[in-house]
Amino acid sequence: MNLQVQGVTRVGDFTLDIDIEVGSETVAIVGDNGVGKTTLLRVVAGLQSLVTGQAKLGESVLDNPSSGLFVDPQDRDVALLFQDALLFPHLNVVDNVAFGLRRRGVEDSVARPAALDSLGRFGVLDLAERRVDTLSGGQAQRVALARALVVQPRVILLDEPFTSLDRSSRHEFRMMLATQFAGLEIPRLIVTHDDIDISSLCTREIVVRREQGKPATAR
Amino acid sequence: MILLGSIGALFIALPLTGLIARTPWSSITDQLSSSTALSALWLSLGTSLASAMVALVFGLPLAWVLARHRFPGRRIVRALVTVPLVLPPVVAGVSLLAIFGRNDGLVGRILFDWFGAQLTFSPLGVVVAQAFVAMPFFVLAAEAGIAGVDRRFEEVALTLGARPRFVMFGVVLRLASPALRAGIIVAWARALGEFGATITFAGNVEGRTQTLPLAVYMLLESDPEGAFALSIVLIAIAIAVLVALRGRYLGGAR
Repeated sequence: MNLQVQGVTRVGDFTLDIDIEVGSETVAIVGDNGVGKTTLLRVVAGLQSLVTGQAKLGESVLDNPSSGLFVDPQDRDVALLFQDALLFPHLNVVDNVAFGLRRRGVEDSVARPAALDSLGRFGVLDLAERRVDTLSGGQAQRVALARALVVQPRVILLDEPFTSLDRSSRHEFRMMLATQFAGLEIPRLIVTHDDIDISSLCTREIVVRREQGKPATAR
Repeated sequence: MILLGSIGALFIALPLTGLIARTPWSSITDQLSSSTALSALWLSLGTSLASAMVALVFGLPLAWVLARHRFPGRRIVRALVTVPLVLPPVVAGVSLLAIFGRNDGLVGRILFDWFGAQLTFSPLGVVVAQAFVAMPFFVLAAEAGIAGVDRRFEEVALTLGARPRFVMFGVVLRLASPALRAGIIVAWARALGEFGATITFAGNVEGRTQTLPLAVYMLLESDPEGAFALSIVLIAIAIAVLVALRGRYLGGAR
């Protein structure tokens, strides 16, 4: 699977000029704070649209303003993970993981075992019936990952997923990502400031930068 | 400090104690089953619930727009919503007359000429008056509740494949539901206690527009015991509301 984004997006008076191509690999997105790294992820997820250019995933066009084509985020099969796990507080752990499957119309008799299976793969099966506000940061982030990957996304976007973790769970989570990613033939983008993340997970970098008086670029 | 605080507490506690002392406990069931009391009870129950529904049906979309959309004039709309909170209820009633009055109200005349409908001196008018003063309580609570839901929950739900309608009802409003529940209870309680706007706009017709507070006021002249009995009912409801909202305002057991 190949992700290709070439074009310009605008948020208020902030402009980001994007030209990236990512294959089945893990790529680090680096750059100073507030320069537009998250905006880049939002464009891929469909939470932010291009004003010119095109976004393509494999053979399917995700966003092409000149032809008026735009695939909504709920139809893109893109997994998005934030710095906070953002587990739904009104659902327990297994129901959080089953959320995406149920929203896609998967029957409960299938969704629940699949969710449990996903929890097992991330080593948190024993937490299945827990309330999410009883989880530690590292546990919550694993559950969030299980929830994002159980629907078999076509792209994975991680926005500083380690920032809220302490050192030891940071290391564990990094190892887990490396293992899980190894078998996935899809593009993976990870926003991070950490050199160890980059060297242990990523094949290369996409740099987002802004020079005085010019629009920001992502290359 | 302690002295002033004690005076403050007494100031609130004394009238309540006085009311309980004056209540004709031995004959309270007779008092409450008089035709005036019964019709006021049922009318109040019906109209206040209807007003709470009105506040919910129209207030929720309003709260959503205020919380989730940035548009020119948003601050003005927001300020406007809060006006009934600070408006003297009598003035609220006069304003309602000015627009919904049968003879000289702009909208009221059209309603009467075209549909033969009259809001003044009708139970529907009571609902209008109550909803007018009660809705802001719900809108403000709901707006705060909706605005307090992290937008990234919506984005996560969308990327997981949830349709926008489900994201709205099944995620955002679901997460805001404690605030919505508190808002609707406060709005309902406000509608139940509404006096000034109701008597000004809808009048004081027994069986049609004479709600509990109006009946209390009227009975005070003719039958003080009945007035005290009805007041106890209103206080009981108020306490029930506080209990329902405990933790939120009392900061107690959670």
